[in-house]
Amino acid sequence: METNYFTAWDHDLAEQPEIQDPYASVIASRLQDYEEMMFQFIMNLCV
Amino acid sequence: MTDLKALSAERDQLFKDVIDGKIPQRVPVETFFTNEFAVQYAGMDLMETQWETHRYEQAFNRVCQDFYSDSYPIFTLRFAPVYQLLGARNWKMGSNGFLQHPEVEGMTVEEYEDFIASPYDTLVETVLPRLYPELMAEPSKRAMTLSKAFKAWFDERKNLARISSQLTVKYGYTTFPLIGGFNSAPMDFVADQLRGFKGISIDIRRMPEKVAAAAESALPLMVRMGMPKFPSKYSPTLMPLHMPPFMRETDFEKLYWPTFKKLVETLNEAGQACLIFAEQDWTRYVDYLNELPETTQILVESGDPKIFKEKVGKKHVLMGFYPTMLIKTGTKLQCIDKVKELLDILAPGGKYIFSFDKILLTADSINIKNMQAVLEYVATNANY
Repeated sequence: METNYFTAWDHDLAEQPEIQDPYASVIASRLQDYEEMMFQFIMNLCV
Repeated sequence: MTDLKALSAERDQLFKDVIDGKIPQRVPVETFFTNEFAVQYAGMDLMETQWETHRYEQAFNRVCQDFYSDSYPIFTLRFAPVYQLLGARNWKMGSNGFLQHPEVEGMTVEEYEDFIASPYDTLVETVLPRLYPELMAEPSKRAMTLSKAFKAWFDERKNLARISSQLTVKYGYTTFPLIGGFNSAPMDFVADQLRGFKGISIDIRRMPEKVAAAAESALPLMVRMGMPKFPSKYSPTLMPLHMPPFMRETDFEKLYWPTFKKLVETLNEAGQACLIFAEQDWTRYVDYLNELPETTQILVESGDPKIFKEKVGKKHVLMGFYPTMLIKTGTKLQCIDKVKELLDILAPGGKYIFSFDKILLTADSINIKNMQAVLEYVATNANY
């Protein structure tokens, strides 16, 4: 079990230097929406 | 339209007052009918409509038209296409079209350590393929199966959101979505689909430390799952509670309560309230409930309403207690007498929303005329 699906995306966003890209935050925000949707879906399958 | 807007604003105020601890103009009415109830009530074929969900609109409209509620009254949690696509073992459709939950074990006793160390990875890599065998496939097929299921889930939710928005406007319901999220108490999460009722009952006795650690590991997932984008005390996260009535109090205190309390507190600190559904009888835990944040709303299935009002009803909003069974078996007079009795006990001082003890599952589980009479009685007479 090497992949930490729960935190991988958040860490990438927080630590990568290219976050300075002027479009980085809007891209990240959009991708985060999908990440959150997938999280909710996965959790929904477990309840 | 203006009248409907005014009606909606009035209803917003009823719920706002109750939740803010003020005396509202009247006791608000909140009912929960399932999609299955609505489809049956509308005379549609349940099996067929579970697949043709665009027909929900007509069915839900019938319920809104015929039963009084101050809030949008339909509750839908599960979608047949999602479970079919995944080959679900944990949700099976019966011959009547109703989705049933068989006992399952998504996680073996040997996998506790994996879950404790890395809960989300274990869910994705171990639990899901076991509960949903269509995911037990080579990677490309697995990816496509999951994509189809996600699309079905997304489409069904979108359909429900569209219907609820339209009917909320059409019937002038409160604009507060009275369920703003959904999750589980951490130990229930471990019990329900991971270990199963039988497995967790054995684990509580044989390896309580692992049960406690697993609940701790599930806690962050439950916080994230139950936290909406815009937290609100008026749109709480619904949390149906399962295991405590089947536990000894000493086990409850050590294994269930700490992470459950922490979950409710964490959501509350972020501005999100919880609506906990105390399923079965929680009388012996009533003093614990009093420790939860004031924003917590408590839907009680059974127990003495006087005890609950006295012990937790001054701090928390109470709901429930009205026995759905009486609606099925009682006379109209008996049903109205029960409303009066509950209003006398629970309404004084505010902090009370009228609702039934259970979510209404099937149309044949109640007497329709009795149900309508009870709801109308509260709407007409429960004024302060």
